[in-house]
Amino acid sequence: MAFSSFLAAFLISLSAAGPAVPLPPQPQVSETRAALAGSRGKRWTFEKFDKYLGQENRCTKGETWTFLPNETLDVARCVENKVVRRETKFALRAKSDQDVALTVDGAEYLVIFPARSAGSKREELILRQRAESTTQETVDRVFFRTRD
Amino acid sequence: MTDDGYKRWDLRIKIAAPIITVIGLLVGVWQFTAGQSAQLQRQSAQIAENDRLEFKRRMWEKQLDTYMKVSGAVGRIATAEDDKELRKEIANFDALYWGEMIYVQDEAVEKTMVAFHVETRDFLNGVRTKDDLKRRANSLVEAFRESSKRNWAAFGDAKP
Repeated sequence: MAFSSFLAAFLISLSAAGPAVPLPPQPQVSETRAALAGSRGKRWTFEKFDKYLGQENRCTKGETWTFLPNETLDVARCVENKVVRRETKFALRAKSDQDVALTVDGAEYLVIFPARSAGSKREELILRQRAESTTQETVDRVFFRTRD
Repeated sequence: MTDDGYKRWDLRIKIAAPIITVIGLLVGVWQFTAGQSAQLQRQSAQIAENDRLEFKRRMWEKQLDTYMKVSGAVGRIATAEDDKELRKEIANFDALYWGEMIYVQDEAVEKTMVAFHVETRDFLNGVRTKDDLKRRANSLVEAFRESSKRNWAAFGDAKP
C-alpha cells in the first residue's frame, strides 16, 4: 500500500512537470511552405542534370523538384537519356509539434531544412522517411539550391 | 404384528442399517474429497494469478527503471557542455537504445526513441540545433511517462 501511494505521488509529480525554460517555437506549416516554394516557386536539385552539349533534353542523370506556391510539384528526371517532366500535387501538414510532413504521390516525408545551411548561399532540403522501429532504416533525400 | 412379521422386519433392518451406514460414510468421503479438490484448484488458480501479477509488476518496475536510466542519459545529452561529453553521453544512450530499451519499450515509445536517436545524429551533423535536441528529449521523456501511466492502469489500480 505504501509503495502504491509513493508511485501514485511520483507519477502525479511527473504529470505536473514540464520544461523549465520555454524553447523557441517550431516552424509551422505556412513557414515550411514558404521555405519550400517561396512566392514564385523554387527548384530543388536532387541530382544535378548532366546534359549533353548541343542536345536538347538529353541527359545521363539528374532530378529536380520544383515546388510552386499553389501546391503543385514539377518533377524533372533523367529517364533513358531524356529529361522527363511530371506534374503532381503536394500537401503539407503538422505531423507533431516538431515535424512537418510532406505528402507526394502517397509517400510521406518529413521536411527538414538543415541548420548548417542557415545564412549560407547554398540552401539544403532533406526529405526524410524516418524509421518507426529500431530495425528499420531512415532514408534521406537531400536536395540543394542556390539561395536567391 | 405376528411373530414371523416381526422377525422379518428385524432381519430387514439388520441388513439395511449397515448398508445405509456404509453409504453414508461413502457420501461423506466423496463430499470431503470433492471439497478438497475444489479448494486445491482454487488455491492453484490463486497462486497462478499471484505469479502472473508478480511477473507483471516486476516487468513494469524494470520498464520504469530503464525509462529513468534513459531519461537521465537524454537529459545529459541535451545539456552537455562540450563535444567530448556529448559523444560520451550519446554512446551511453546508444547502448540502452540497442539493449535494454528493446526489451521494455512499447510501440509508441519505440517511435519516439528512434526519433531521438536520429536527432542525435542530426545534431552531430549540423542538421539540427541544441534546441531541436531538447524538444525531442522532452517528447521522449513524455512518451515514457505516458507509457508508465498506461501500464500502471493495466494493473487495475486507480489511475493517478
